[in-house]
Amino acid sequence: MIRDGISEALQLLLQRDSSVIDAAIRSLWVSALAVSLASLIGIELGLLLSRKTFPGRRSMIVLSRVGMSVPTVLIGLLCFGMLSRRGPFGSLELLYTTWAIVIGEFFLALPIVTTLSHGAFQRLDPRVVETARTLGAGPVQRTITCLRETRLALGLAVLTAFSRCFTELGIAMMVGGNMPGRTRTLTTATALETSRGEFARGVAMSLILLLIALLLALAIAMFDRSEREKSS
Amino acid sequence: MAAHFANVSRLTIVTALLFLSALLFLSAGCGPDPDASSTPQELPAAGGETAADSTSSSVIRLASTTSTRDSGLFEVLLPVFEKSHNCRVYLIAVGTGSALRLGEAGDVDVLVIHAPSAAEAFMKAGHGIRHEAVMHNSFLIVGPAADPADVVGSELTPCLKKIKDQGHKFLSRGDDSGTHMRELALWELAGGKPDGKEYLETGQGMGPTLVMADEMQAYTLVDQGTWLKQKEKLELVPIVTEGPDLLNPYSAIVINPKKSKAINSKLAAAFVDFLISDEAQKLIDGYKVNGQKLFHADRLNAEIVE
Amino acid sequence: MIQITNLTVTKGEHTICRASAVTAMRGERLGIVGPNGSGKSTLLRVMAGFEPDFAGDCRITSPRNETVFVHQSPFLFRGTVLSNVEYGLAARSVSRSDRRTLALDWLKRFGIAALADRQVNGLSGGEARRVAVARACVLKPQLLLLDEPLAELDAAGIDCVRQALAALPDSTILIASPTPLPSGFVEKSVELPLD
Repeated sequence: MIRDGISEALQLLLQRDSSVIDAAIRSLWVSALAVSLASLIGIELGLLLSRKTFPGRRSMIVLSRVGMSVPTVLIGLLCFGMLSRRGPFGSLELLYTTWAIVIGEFFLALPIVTTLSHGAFQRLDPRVVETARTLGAGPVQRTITCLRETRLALGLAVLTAFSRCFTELGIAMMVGGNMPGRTRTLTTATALETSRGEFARGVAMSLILLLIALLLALAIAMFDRSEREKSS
Repeated sequence: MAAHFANVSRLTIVTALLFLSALLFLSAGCGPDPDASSTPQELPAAGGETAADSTSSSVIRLASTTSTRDSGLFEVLLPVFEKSHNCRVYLIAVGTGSALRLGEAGDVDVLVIHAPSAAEAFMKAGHGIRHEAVMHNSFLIVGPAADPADVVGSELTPCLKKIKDQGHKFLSRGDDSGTHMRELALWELAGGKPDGKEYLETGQGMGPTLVMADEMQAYTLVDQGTWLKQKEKLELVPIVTEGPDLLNPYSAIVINPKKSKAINSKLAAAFVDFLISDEAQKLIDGYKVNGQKLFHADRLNAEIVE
Repeated sequence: MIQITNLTVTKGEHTICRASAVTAMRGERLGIVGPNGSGKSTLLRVMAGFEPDFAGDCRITSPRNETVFVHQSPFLFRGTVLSNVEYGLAARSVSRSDRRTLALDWLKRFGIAALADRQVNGLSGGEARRVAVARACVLKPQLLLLDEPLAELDAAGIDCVRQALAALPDSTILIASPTPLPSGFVEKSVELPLD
């Protein structure tokens, strides 16, 4: 079956099967958008949690960590409840659109980015802030400096969140609806192929998904290496 | 520093090996659950441990559809058979296409499906050695209470034609399931399926498709079992409930034992005998969901036919 | 001008720094000498505002942003030597061209002008230290706090630092050192621990 899957995957890629390309592009941009939004907020949160003390800080950290383990079906269910016609945001008519998937994956990515960037800032050498401060940097410049010094760790946090979103099924299925050409992603397409008994095709789609993830990881690794090579 | 590195990697290797062997050990000891209501991804490995198990007379694997499982009928029938034959029946509920694939591969011993043309083709190809009608119920067209196409109570074909011509939202399963194949056949009778934006495929099971139809205020084809179970929570209403083309027959197939040494055809045949026996047929006919009868037994007071 | 009276800093149960009286006037150079663990770094850190929990009095007449501290083991930001030295100037809204000129000027004083466009990862200990001190000097702070600035420097390097510091006549400079400083750096020294 795996062998068939590999040959099927190659065929799909070579033939540039439009439904597969459509699903792949959708998976990519939906996850990318969700993770970008989550990073904007998550990195800020991570920074805040590491710098300031405020009531509820401890609970927020724990909550964020727990949030990393929430099953996607649960997030899917909760989003469904919010966006359904009978739910509070039903009038927005977002259910069964790609926006609903973006929203769900946003909540999937947020705890991941927050927790991992919080960790990165915790590990940041205290001399960084002290040096910046003593040299007269204002809060904005200090924050920028912190972000630059934790660049790699933050990049990893974002990549981790993206991987999670790119490969999730529960949210896309539940609030997306797996409609071809509208809300079908690589993962929901795989699920469909499997239920149809087209196992080889299902494996093929999963392999394509893995391939994209691999290319992304390689790109990040190359970027990291070039950063380090510049210095020596 | 190098020494430290060597120590770390050795420890990592040992840990990884232990972890892997634990995984292998555990997976060898696992088998599918008795009523393995698997999601599409979780198909049990037919090889491995269960091979030894099923050559003994105590286990058969039954592949059926998710809607049949969701009706709850098997929870009534299987224990009776299991007790009288002192065995276990492992139920694997998947999409129709998957079930047929499993049968073709010899990964299961018996099928209960509701896809007559697919079943015919299956038998013709020699994948099964016995095919028996078991029960039937009906499909129905359901739709929004507001009925924008104004088709409630009409005949099937004019109803579908109107939905198509006037461009009303219609949801299709789009997953090669029994329901989907029937839906396509019905569109054929109405002159072809709609090709506009209002004809949407969900690529999901009947339950989720119904929910989507409810949310999107669309028409859809649904089997009686799923409908009766879910209708209380939905705002959809029945649109067309009668018609010879809406008949939904369920049949059982014994898989050709030549497929695999692991196939327990004797017990599979006994299971099919049971399904068409008076005892089971009475249970089927009397089965109710929310006080309503779900299936019509086909073989009441009939003899076992070859 | 800086004046410290009856300062004690404790971490947990241990007193890590004790100084009864330390005074330095405007433009003075003061050495803080003592063995490892005597609290030299801590004293300077208190002055820099990095150790908020202390008992006693620490009065500094110059504004906070005119106090610059250089770590015992300095941290250089990712990037080039030049960008590091320009860091504080950027914070003070100095124009881009002026920043570059000033930074190069000071790098020359420290004998490391050739390293201007180098990435900081590849620097030796002595080079990195000079970059860090240059980074502080370029701001011409009223109060300059140097924590063991001469470690890892050879005779030529020490000379560079001496000459560079001479170019800051209006700055009050405090230098911590485990051993008495070579001549030409400070006018007087205090020894820690100071009871």
